[in-house]
Amino acid sequence: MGLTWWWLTLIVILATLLVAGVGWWVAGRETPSTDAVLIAHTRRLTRLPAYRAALARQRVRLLGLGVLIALVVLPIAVAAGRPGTTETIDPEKNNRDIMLCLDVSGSMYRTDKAVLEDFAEIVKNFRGERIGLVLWNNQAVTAFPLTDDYDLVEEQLTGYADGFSLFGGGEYDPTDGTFNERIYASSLSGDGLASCVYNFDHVDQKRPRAIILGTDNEVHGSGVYTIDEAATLAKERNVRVYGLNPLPYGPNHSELSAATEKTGGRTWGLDQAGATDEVTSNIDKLEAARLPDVAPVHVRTDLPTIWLSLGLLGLIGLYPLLWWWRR
Amino acid sequence: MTRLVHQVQGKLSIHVRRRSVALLDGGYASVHKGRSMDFDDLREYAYGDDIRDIDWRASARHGSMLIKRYVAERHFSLIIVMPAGQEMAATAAGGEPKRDIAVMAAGVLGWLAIRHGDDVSMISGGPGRIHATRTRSSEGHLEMLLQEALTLSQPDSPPSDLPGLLRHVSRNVRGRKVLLVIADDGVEPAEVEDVLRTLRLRHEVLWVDVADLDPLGVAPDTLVRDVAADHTLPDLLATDRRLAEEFGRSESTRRSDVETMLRRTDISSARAGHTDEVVPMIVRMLEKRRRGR
Repeated sequence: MGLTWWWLTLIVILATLLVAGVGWWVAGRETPSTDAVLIAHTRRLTRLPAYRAALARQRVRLLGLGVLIALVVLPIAVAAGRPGTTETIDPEKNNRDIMLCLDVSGSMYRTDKAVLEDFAEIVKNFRGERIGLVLWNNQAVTAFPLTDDYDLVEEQLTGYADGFSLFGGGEYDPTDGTFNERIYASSLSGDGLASCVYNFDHVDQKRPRAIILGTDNEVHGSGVYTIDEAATLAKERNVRVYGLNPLPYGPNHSELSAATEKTGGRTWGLDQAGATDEVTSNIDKLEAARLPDVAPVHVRTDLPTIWLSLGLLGLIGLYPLLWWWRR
Repeated sequence: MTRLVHQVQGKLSIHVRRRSVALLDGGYASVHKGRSMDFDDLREYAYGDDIRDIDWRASARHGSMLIKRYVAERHFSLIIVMPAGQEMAATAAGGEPKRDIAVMAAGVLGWLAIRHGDDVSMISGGPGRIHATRTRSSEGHLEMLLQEALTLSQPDSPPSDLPGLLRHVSRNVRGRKVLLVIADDGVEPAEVEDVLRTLRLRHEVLWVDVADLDPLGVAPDTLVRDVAADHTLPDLLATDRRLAEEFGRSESTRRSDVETMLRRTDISSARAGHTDEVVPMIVRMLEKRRRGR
């Protein structure tokens, strides 16, 4: 909470104090008014205890009035100073598109739940990025497109993770539509990756794009793209691919590593502890390195509601009291 | 110069239409209760004695002022006890300055005394400044007294002190006199009762109340200021009904206390809030006094 025009607040308060002070001074040096009716022996009145009591009541009233006026002026003065919050926002974070690309073939079944949970963990550390999820076996299905609605992202990811554990019994079936029986192949990682690459929108805009590819790269049969061709496509489109492999050894892993490194990314194994942290920080670092050095943007949010309401409440209290006292 | 006396005469002449001046004279004459016998001796001069009564030869022989007693007692003399001061510059119940009413009352009785051949003097002033005038029986002298009363009753004058004046009279005035006490609503019965009792033993006392403006009767939103203060009075009476009631009660108690005290001490009194009321109320007072005797 800060005041943009704090000097205006200061001016309002000082002006109020000045007016009050001048009023006090003028009242204090009041010269005998010539138009006043002269009367004598007012001691008959002023010595009455009732007079002193009435005077005390009057003082209390005036004091209350002063306090009330202060209660009106102060919030209004604060409101005049434009209260609000200042936030510094890094524009780069809003520019990232991250596609989660998950192999749901039979060989991955045992580990997909862990991968999805890892995805959910990774996503938790993102702010402002758009996330999308594509599931594939021998053909790709978009579970949800790129979005910054994190509630939806979390719900979908946990939903699909549950779908694996319940084996199709849940609300979300991750395998739905990912296996085309007319294609005699499975786990087509090249096609899956290419589908993910094609799934990015706003192709004409220059945005940092990344794919987190969860696969063991155990391809059966042949698809349209080999993993290497898909990686080339990703490189052409300036998309970085980061791999998560549950079996981080053997020729499949080397192939996957080579493909991801070609696009500028890397491949990590799933089994090691703290992998998600590493993935996140690596993605962050790598992406940050790719981002143009954009100055942070200050965003002001005005919050005058409380102060104006307080001032209004004070006025609502003040006017009836004034009317009642001057009656 | 004789402006004030002329005003008094004007008021009196209006009144003559309904009541003869003789009635007034008779009323005034009845103030004197029994004439003393001629008693030819000399006594020390005292405050208020007519200087015409001074026996200069005897005084020269004796070394101090002596007056011829028989001469002194043939003349009655009127002493106007005038608490002239800033209080008399305030507003009376009728809206005029109180001093106008005080001067009118003093003028009417003074004029009657002069017509009757009696002497008039005035004691005025506040604590430490008490001033007694000379004793004379002339229109010019009366005018001078009235002018002095008026001059002393300005808003920037020092305050007056009626109990002090009365005590001064009781200490210093010898011989039987007629005292005209001009009072106002500042009188506290307890402060003056004792001295009035003492005065009443020796003198005839007439009491004229100049009614002060009632603070309760002031129109709303009027600035009101006490003559002794330089700031206006807060309008608490207008805004605070309880206070107004309390003040009304205490005032009526004080007024009835004053009346009771005057009745107890057998002092004829009258009350006026306007110069037009002065003559009728003095006539009423004198008539009542004559009938009561």
